[in-house]
Parts: sequence; C-alpha cells; structure tokens
Amino acid sequence: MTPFQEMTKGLFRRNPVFILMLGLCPTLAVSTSVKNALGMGVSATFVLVFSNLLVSLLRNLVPRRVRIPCFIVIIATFVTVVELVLEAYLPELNRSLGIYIPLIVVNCIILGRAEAFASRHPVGLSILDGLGMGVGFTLALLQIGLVRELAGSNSIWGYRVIAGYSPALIMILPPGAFLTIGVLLALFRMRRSGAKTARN
Amino acid sequence: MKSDGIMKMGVVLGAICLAAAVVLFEVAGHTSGEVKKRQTQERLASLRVVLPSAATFSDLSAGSSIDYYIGYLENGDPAGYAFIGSARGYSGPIEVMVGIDPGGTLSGIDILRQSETPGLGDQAVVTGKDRSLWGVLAGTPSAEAPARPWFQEQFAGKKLKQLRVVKAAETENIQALTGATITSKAVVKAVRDSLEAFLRQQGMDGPEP
Repeated sequence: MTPFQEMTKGLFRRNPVFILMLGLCPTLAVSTSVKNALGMGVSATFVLVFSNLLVSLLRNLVPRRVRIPCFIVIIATFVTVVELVLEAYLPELNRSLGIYIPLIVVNCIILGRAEAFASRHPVGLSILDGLGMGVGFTLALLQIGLVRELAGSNSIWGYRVIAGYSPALIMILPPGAFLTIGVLLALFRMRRSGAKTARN
Repeated sequence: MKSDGIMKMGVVLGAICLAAAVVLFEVAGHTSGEVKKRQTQERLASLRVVLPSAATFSDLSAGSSIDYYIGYLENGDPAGYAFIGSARGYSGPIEVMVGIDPGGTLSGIDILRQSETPGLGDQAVVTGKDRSLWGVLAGTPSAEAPARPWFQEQFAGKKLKQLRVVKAAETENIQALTGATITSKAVVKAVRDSLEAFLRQQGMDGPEP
C-alpha cells in the first residue's frame, strides 16, 4: 500500500465505525448533534495521531510483554491533555461531551491502531494511519450526528431547519442512535456489496 | 537473561510513566489559571442574571446553614442576596443559583449544572432555537433568540409560597416543562429548599407582606 492509501483506508475501505465496528460506545453516545460529533471526532483524532506517533517511535524500545500498559499510559496522557485543554478553553463543549472525553482512553480504535499498526510500522506511516482513522471516525460521527440532530431536534449546528415542524425526540435518545447507526451500516454494506458484484 | 528482561520492562514502563507525569504537570500548570479565571467569570455572570439590579457583589459569605453572596446597588445599598440550591433531577444533581431581593421575593434563578435528558429535561436551560439555518446560510441577520430560557424566567417575582409546579399555563405558580415533570419539580425543590434555609438563617420567615 502506498502511504496515501494508508491514510485514505480509514475513510471508507476500513472505516473504524462502519467497517471495523470499533468505538461504537462513544459513537452511540455523543452523536446527538453535529457539534458534539465534531468535538468528539477532533479530540479522538488528536489522541490517535499522537499516540500512534509515540507508540511507533518507541516500538523497538518497549518490551513486548509490557507493551499494553505502555500504550495505555501514552494514550491516557494525551486524553488528559485534551481534557485539560477543553476544560480551559472550550468549557461548553467539555460539558456537553462530559464523561466521554476521559473515556477516549478506552476507545478501542486508539488502542487497536496502536497495537495493530503503529507498533509494527515506521513513524510517518503511523501518523498517516492515525490521521486517516481519526478523520474516518469523525466523518462517521458527523453522518450519524447530522441525521439524529436533523430528525431529533429539527436543527443543524443548533440552527432551526424547518419552521414549525415538531421533531421526533426519540432520535436524540439512545434508541435513535441504534436506529440511525443500524440503517447507515446497512447502507454502507449495501454499497460495498454492490461494488463487489459490479466487479465480478 | 530472564531477570534482565524484567529489569528492562520496569525501567521502560517507569520511564514512560515519568515522562507522562512531567507532561501532565506542565499542561495542568498552563490550564489551571485559565480554568479558575473562567469559573470566576461564570460565577459573576450567573450572579448578574439572578440579581439584575445589583452593580457589585460580595465574596461568598459563610452562613450557619447556607452560604450566600450579597449584591449591592450603585449607591452601596443592598440589592439582594444570592445562594446556591441543589436537588436530584431525573439523571443527576441539579444546581441552581437563586437570587432574592431584600424582601425575600425571587429576582431570578440560573441553573448552573444539570445532566437532564436532551430534548426533555434540558429544555430548562435551552433557549429557543429561533435562528433558521437558511437565514444563516443566506447571511440575513435574524431576530436574536431569547436570551434566557422561559422556564427559568418565570421564577422572577415569585414568593416562597408560590413555588409549586403546575401543568397549566398560568402566572401564579411555576409551569412544568412538557414531558419533564421530574426536572421541573427538582428545580423548584432546589430553589424552595435553599430559599427556606436562607430565610430561616436570616430570621426572615416571619410575617411577610
């Protein structure tokens, strides 16, 4: 794979949410609005890029048997940095994302990429991989957030879309998250299998 | 050889932890000042909401049962008091800043912290989404959304006895949020309990005009 492909694979072909099915807990929880989705996506991307960078740098230094604790310390450090910065400069976003920022530590996308990719590949490729996966995660969150905010609050980015239309509240409650992600997953799969059939 | 491996594991893991601690110490040092400044600002903004007539505010004074702030008018006369009440809402604690005039009538409330259901209970803090997306995209300036949520606005001018949740739209009591009776009751309880505690502490619960 070319370096460019390493980056773009996270967007569609190996999208962390729709294809790898990783990180579904934060995906379901914070996709209530486009703003929350973007905040979570950018935070996770930041952590992903820097944890991949460090894990890749240290990959020949860290003994295999303690690699997981080392990865977790690295990831937790970056997550705490994000949390502190959000608290200081974006308190509103911090409040609406709440517990899901500290929970990025256990987001399986990040540990998954550290273990499966960054600990076996050079620094440059690892950064590209983290960036691609992060952007793929963000795009997935934005899609789900867009559908849910539109249907559940009749707004996009907090602005009213259809005047006088009373929204379907269930879409911003947990059932709406499952419904949306289920339908989007089905569409994603359909498109993929359609492409495969066309090739054959 | 084996003990060598264990030594190396310990040293590497320890070194990574040490580096993490140093990084976090530095970042926390840079952000803590900003966090504190913002908290002070938010507290002041909240006091201005609940005591709109006050020009300056005292620091938090300790009371026997509830701590309070005193607001002063331009000329130095007391404009009222503010204190923080709390109650358990539908999905977590709700904290409310409560402001009263010297006579004990509510001058305003401001919900400081809540984690109520989006779309239902959190209507207590949401201001009307009146700005249309199309207006924003077209760049036309539209009417400003109401600055304060109506649910909190209706507390102004109420007395202790009137703090009761009702379903009907009327001005005598507090009208409940649609589909969020528990949240409405929790906010009213937070206001009522703290107000009772404050009045008792000040010896103001006697004859009321």
